Amino acid sequence: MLSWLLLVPLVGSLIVWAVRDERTMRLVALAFAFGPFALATALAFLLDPGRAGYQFLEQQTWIPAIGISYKVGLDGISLPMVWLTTLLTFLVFLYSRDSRTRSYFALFLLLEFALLGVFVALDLFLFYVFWELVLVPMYLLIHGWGGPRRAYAAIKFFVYTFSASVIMLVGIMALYFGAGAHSFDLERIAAGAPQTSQLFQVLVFAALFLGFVVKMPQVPFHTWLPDAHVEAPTGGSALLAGVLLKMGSYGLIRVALPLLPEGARFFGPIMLVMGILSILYGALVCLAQQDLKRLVAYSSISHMGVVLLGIALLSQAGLASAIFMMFAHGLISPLLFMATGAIQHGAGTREIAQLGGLALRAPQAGFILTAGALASLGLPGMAQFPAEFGVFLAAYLGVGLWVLVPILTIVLTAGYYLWALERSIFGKLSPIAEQAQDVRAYEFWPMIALVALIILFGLWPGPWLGAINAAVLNNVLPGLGLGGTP
Amino acid sequence: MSSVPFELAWLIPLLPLGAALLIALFGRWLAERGGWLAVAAGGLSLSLAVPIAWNGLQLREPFTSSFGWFAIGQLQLRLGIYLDQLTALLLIVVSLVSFLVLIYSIAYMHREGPRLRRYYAEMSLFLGSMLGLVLADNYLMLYLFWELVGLCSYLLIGFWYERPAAAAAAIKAFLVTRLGDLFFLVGLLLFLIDFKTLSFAELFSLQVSPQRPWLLGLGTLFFFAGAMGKSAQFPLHLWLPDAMEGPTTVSALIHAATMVNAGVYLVARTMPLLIRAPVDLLVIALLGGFTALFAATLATVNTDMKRVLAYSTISQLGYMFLGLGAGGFAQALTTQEGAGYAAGLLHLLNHAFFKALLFLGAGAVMHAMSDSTDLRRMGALWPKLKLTGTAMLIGALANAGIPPMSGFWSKDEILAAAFSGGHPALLTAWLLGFATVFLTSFYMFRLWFLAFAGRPRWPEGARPHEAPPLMAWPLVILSLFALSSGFLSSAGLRRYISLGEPHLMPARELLAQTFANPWTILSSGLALAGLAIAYLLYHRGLDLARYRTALGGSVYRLLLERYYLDRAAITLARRVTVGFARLLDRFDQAVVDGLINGIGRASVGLGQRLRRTVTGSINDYASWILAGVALFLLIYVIWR
Repeated sequence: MLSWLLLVPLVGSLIVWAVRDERTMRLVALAFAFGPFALATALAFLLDPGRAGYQFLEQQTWIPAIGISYKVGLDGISLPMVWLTTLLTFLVFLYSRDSRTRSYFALFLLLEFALLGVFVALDLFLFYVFWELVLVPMYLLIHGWGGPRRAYAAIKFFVYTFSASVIMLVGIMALYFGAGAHSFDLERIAAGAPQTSQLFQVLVFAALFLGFVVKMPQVPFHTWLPDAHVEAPTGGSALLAGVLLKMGSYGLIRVALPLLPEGARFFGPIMLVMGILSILYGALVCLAQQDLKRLVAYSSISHMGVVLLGIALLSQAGLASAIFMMFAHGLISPLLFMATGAIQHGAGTREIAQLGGLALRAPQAGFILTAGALASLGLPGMAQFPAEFGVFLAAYLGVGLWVLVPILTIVLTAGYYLWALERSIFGKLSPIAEQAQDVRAYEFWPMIALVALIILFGLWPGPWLGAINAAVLNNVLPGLGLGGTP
Repeated sequence: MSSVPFELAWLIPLLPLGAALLIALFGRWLAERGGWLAVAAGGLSLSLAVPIAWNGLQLREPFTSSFGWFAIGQLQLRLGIYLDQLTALLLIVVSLVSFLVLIYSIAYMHREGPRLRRYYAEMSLFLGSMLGLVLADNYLMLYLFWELVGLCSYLLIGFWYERPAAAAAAIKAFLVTRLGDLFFLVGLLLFLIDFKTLSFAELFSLQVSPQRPWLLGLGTLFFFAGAMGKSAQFPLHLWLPDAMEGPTTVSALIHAATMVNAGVYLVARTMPLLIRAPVDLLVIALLGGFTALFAATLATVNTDMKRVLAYSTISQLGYMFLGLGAGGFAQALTTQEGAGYAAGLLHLLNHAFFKALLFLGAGAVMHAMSDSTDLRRMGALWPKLKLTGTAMLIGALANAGIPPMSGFWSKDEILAAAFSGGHPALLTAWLLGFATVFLTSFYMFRLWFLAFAGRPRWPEGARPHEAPPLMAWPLVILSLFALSSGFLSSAGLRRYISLGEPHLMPARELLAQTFANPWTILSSGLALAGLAIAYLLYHRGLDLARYRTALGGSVYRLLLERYYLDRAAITLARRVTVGFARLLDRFDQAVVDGLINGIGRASVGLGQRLRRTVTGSINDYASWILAGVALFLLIYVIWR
C-alpha cells in the first residue's frame, strides 16, 4: 500500500509532463494529487495506534552486497507527516489555478514523491536518497517560478541544505559501520547503535544534528529560509514551511534520538538552548519585518523552535507534543503563506506599510489572514494550542520555572501578528488597498479547508495525539532507554 | 422548576456557540442578519440557565459531568461542566444581562447593515464562551474559554476596524490581557505537574504535599495575575478605557456581563485553594483597594462619558477583589464565615446590573446626540430624555452606593469585611476603599449633571430624541434590577453564596443592623458629600476652571495624562521592544547571514581555483562527498 502511495505521484509526475493540452493536464494533475491524499486518509483510519513497531511494512532487498534494502513502513509519528504532505499537495493544486505550466505540476508531484519517501523510509540509505531528492524539485520550483531574487534564493537554499546533509551522510555512514550491523536498516542499526561508546554517539549525533537542524532551521543556521520563502512561489512556500522543515525534526525523532541515546542526552541541553533561542529570536525579528511573507517565514523559525524545545526534553510529553506541533504548524503556516500569496495576487504587494485597511476592500482576505494569525499565536480551540501547551508542560517538567523564558513567546507572537494585522488589513484605507481585489474563489476554498481543519484538530486533538503518544512510547522511548514516564 | 435535569446545562453555552456558527455561515439570509437568531439563542440559554441555576443554588455537592479530551504523555485532560452556587450566580448574571444587551442591539446597531452578520456572530461567540467559562469543570477548559472571551473582545472592540483608534484599542486589549494570561498558563502547568490534575473537584479535595507548600501559593498567585488582566486591575488596567472604541453594546457586555467578570470569577473559583495561601489573599485585597482608588481618581477628570464609566468599572472591580481577599483571609485564619467573599460576589451581581444600565443609557444618549460621547458637548438633556435620564440617575445612585440602591449593600459589606479583617494590610485596603466612596459618588454625579443638567452645549444641528422601545425596555428592566438587587441579594441570595457556614440575618434585622453601624452612616455621608459637590460644581455652574485650580494644575494634568502610564507602556512596546527587534533584524542580516554568505563566497572562490584542475559544479559536490567519505573512514578506523 505504501508503495502505491509512492508510485502514484511519481507516475503522475511523468504523465503530467507528457500531457500537452492544458485543461486535461490540470485535471490529470488534480487526479494524481487526490489519489495519494485519499490513500493517506485511508491509511489514517487503518493504522492501529496501539501496535508497537511499524505497520504496512514492505521490504525488498535492493543492493544486498552493502546491506541496502527498500524498506518502508508507517507509524503514528510518520502518519501525520504523510497525510499532511498529500493534503497540502492537493490543496496547492486547487489553489494554483493561475497560469502555471505542466512542469510546475510535474515538479510538485515529484516533490510529493520525495517527501513521502523521506517519511516512510525505514532504511537509512533510502532515507538519504529521498532526502536529497527533495532538493531538486524544490530548487527548480524556486528558480523557475520565484520572485525577482529567485536565482540567489534558490542556490542559497540548495547549497546550504545540501552541504549540511552531506555532513549528515557522514553520520549515516558512521552508523553503518559503527553499529556493527553493516546494514542501513533502521531497525537493525537500532539493535546495535545504542550500545556504542559515548564519544562515538556524540560525534555521530553532531553530524546528523547539523543536517537536521539546518533543515528545520534553527538559529543560527536559519538565514536561507527567509530568502527562500520570500522568493518561492506560494505553493512552494506552503510545502516548504508545511512539510520540508519537518524533515529536520522528523529525522531527529526517527533517526538520531532512538539510535544515539547517549548523543541525545549530551546534546539535550544544546538543543534546549537552541530551541529557546530560536523561539525568542525568531519572534523578535518578526516584529521588525516589513514584508508579510518574510514575517511568516521568521515565525516559522520561532515555531520550529517550540518543536526543538519539545524534542530536547527527551520525554514522552515533550516528543508527542513536538510532533503534534509539527503537524499543527504544517496546517497553519501553509495557510498563512497562501493568505499572503492571495493578498499579493489581489493587491499587488505584501508590504505591510502599503496595505492599510485591506479588510474593507478584501474582507475574505482579511478573514483568512486573521484566522491564520490567531491560529499561529496559539489560540485555544485551534490546532497549535494543545501542541504548544504540551511542549510548555514538558518544559516545566524538565526545567521548572525557567519555562517562563520560552513562554514569553505567547505575548511576543500575539504582538507581532496582531500588530501586522493592525497595520495591513485594519486602519485607514491605503491607496493600494483601495484598488485591491479580494481573494479568488479557487484560492479561498483551499484556505477555508485549512481553517476548518485547524479548528477541527484544535477542538478534537485526541485521536491524532493518541496515535502519536503510542508511537513515541513504542518506537522512540525504548531506544532512549525511557519507559512510560510523562 | 425541579424537572430540568442538570445535564441540560451543556446546552447553555452550546446554544449561543451554535448560533454563532450559523450566523457566520448563513447570516446573510437571516432576519436582521442573524440578530434575531442571536436573541433567540440567548433567550433559550437564559430560560435554561434560570431553572438550572435555581436548582444549582440548593445543591449540597457540586454537580459534575465530563469526558476525556486529549492526553499529553500520561496526563489526561478533560472537558466537563461543574455546577455549584458560584456557577449558578454567574450563569444568571451572564445570561440575563447578555440577553438584554442583545435585544437592545437590534435597535441600536440596526444601521450597521451587512456588518451585522459579523456583529451577531461575534456577540454570540462571546456569550457562549463566557457561559462555557463559568461552567468549566477544570482550569484548562476555563482557560480555553478565557482565551475565546479575550478573542471576542479583541474582535468586537475592533468592530469598526477602519478607525485607527479602534484597531489600536483592540490590539491593546488583547496584548495587555495576554500578559496576564501568560502567568495563568504557567499556573496551569504548575498545577498539572505538581498536583497532577486541573479538575476543580479533585484540586479542592487535595491534600497538598508538605514538602513544597509554597507551590500552591505561587500557582494561585499566577492565576491571580491572569485575573488582573481580564478584570483590569492595576497595572494591567490599561486596555479597558480604550476598549470604549467598540460599539456601546459591546462595552456593556464587556463591562457588565462577560470579560471583566471572568477575573473575579477565577479568583472566587480558586478560593478553596487560596485560603491555604493567606498571603496571596492579602495581595489581592490590597491591589483591589488600590485599584479602586486609583481608577476613581482618573474618572473624576475624564470628559468622555464612556471612559468615565470605564474607569468606574475598574474601580468597582477593585472593590470586588478587596471583598474576595478580605473574605478569604478571614476564612483562612478563623473558622467564621468570610463575609467579604459573599459581598464581593454580590457586588459582581449588583454591578452587572447597574453598569449594564449605565452603558445602555450612555448608548441611548449617544443615539440622541449623533454618537457623541463628549460630556462637554451635552448638558440639559433631561427635558428631552426623561426615560434615559431617569435610568441613568438610578444607575448613578446605585454605582455611587447611596442607600437603598443596589451598590450600597454589597459595597458596604465589602468595606465592613475589610475593616474587621484583622490585618494591617486589610485595614489599609479598607482605607483606600473608604476614600473611594467619596470619589465614586462625585464622578458619577459629575457625569450625570454634565449630561442632563445645566445649560445645553450641544453641537450644531443636534436634535436629541428618546430611544425606541427595543432600547427603552432593557433600560426599564435593568433599572428595576439596579433598584432592588442589592437588598434582595443581601437578604436572600446571600445564604447560598458563602464561604463557610453563612451568618444569616432576617431581613428586618439586616436593615436594623446596617443602619445602626456608624461606619455605614459615615460612608453614606461621604457618598452624599460627593453628590453635593458634584451638584455645586456642575449644576450650580461653578465652572471647570475653578475646579481645576481647586485641584491644582499639576495634579489635574497628571490625572488627564492618566499618570503617564499609558504613554510609558506604549513607549515600552513600540520604542523599546520594537527598537530592539529592528536592531536584531539588522544583526540577523548583517552578521548571521553575512557570515554564511561569506563562507559561501569563500567556497565559491575555492571552487573556482579547483576548477582549474577539475571541471563543473557537480564536481564541487563530488569533492564534498569525497571529503565526507574520508571523514567517516577516519571515524570508523578510530572507534571501531
